[in-house]
Amino acid sequence: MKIETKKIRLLSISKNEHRSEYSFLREQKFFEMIRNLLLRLGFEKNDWVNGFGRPWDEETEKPILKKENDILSKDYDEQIITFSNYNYSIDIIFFSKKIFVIFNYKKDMQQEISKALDSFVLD
Amino acid sequence: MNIQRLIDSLSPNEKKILPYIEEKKISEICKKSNLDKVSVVRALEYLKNKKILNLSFKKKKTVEIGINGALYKKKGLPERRLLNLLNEKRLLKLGDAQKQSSLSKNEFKASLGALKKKALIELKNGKIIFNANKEEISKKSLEEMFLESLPIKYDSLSPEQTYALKSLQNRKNIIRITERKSIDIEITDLGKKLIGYGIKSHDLIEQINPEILRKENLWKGKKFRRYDVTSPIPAINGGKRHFVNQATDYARKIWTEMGFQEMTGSIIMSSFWNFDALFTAQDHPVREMHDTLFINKKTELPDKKIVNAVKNSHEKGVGGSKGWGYSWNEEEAKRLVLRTHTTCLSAQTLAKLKEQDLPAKFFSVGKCFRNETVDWNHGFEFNQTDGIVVDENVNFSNLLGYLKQFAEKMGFKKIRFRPAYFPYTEPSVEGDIWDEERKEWIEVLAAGMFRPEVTEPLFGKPIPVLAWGPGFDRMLMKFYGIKDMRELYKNNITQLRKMRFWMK
Repeated sequence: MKIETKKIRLLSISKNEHRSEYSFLREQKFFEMIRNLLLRLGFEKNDWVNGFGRPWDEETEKPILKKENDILSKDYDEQIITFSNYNYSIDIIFFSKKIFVIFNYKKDMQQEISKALDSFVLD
Repeated sequence: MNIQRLIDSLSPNEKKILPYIEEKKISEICKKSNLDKVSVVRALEYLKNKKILNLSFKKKKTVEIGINGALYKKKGLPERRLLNLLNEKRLLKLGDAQKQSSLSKNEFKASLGALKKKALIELKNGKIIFNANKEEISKKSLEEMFLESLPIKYDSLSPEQTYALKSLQNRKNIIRITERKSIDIEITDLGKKLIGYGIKSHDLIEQINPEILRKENLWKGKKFRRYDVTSPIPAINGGKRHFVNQATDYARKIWTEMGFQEMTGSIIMSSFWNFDALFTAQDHPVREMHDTLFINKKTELPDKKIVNAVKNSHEKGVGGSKGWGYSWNEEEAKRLVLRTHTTCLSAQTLAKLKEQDLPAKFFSVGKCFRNETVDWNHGFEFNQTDGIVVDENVNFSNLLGYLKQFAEKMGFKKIRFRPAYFPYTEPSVEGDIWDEERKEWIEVLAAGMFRPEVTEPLFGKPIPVLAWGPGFDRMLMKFYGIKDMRELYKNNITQLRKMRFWMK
């Protein structure tokens, strides 16, 4: 799957056979990067994935795809958002300047994740 | 593959060895790159990960001469020395032979064994009888020839040499087998391209440090080494939730997804809530010290109306039952215990419920305690998840359905139910999950419908209440492959780091 995305600054990596952790700068591009990364990792393109970082239409109960929330908004401070499917349980933790993304997996997936991430991070 | 991008991701040591990898010998690469062997091997591994070269690791075994072997090569094997002596004397007493041969006790014994095996001597009445002919004496043994041929490659041994090796291997320090590892380097097409491209290491900042950051001219306009996300890195063990807590959180998630509300409460309970409210008679064996952990204090009982209803239920029964037919003791109900099950929370919740709250579904997940002797299969503490469904329209089939759904969500596809008995439920059921690995059923579920003797005093009228309290620890042990229950509560940091994430 070819996914175009803006590249983002990666700050740190830690990986082992049970989980991988990456930290990023808390910048607006992060939402789009994660949405695309989830698809690349095999997540279904559903409202929960599409709605990450986006406001929700209360009437239709669907994300508003044309808009995006402000990532620096206080609403995100110390928030933990989790995505999970059969292979992964991913925790996204928002701190004041950084965001930690923790990938827990059933079997060792560190290479799959780093390969998927490679095209999204700045050289 | 973008060559410049690849070059930018090379570490200083990778760059240092790259011009010399065509040498293909680690020692030569070390010499020319001025790096030690460990650094070179590590850099080669990194280059392999980047598909610049392929590495194949080979093990070479060699049979070499040992300390005693070197001595015997000079002086002759002990059996040769004994053979020479016997050739002169023909018949010798054992003691005399050892003395005259100047062999140690062990050497002498080994020599006797070796010569006897080849039928060159016989032992009779403490004497050595020499049987060898001239040809046999002068002929070199396989062991002697093997010793002279050392060192020799293990893989190239002939059947005779293998026989000699086995014979000498049993004797002290005559031979030794050494194993050397070698690495074969094969440069890939990408590697060849990269070498041809030429690598310049200057002007690239490899690592940021405070010194560089302080002076702008040290970093401004310079290029930084590319951060290679795919490179293997040493594992860092970050903080995470305890694996038991991960599992209890998961159970919590299952119940909430099924529309249940959580019940919480203290681990210290009055006997009233832990036993009496659940129609457990005050002389029931479970209320003895050897089953329950009591606290040397008492507490106040709840509302008099509920206490009297419970007392009445025990003494006289409700809805046509006869109760336990004894005189209920209020003081006994005041005794504090470490809760033996989380069902006490269900009793407390039922007492708070009103008609207009129905239908209602509640769950709890928490620690319980029993006075058990601790061993691999028993602990004095364990985790339980309790649940109740209070609804005029529920029945026993619904109960089995909830249990089945919970077990399935916990990852257990095969479940069976058996009739059971509990003091506070009727009918009662026990559920087993199938352990595919051990090919056996494991008992994890205990459930039933609360008896009217429980529901009427607490809720004010008899109402169907589905209730269950699966033990959690056995499911946990099965998931994490833990054989000893005590490991659930050990603070072994190595084990905690290795534990995988609870995922179903």
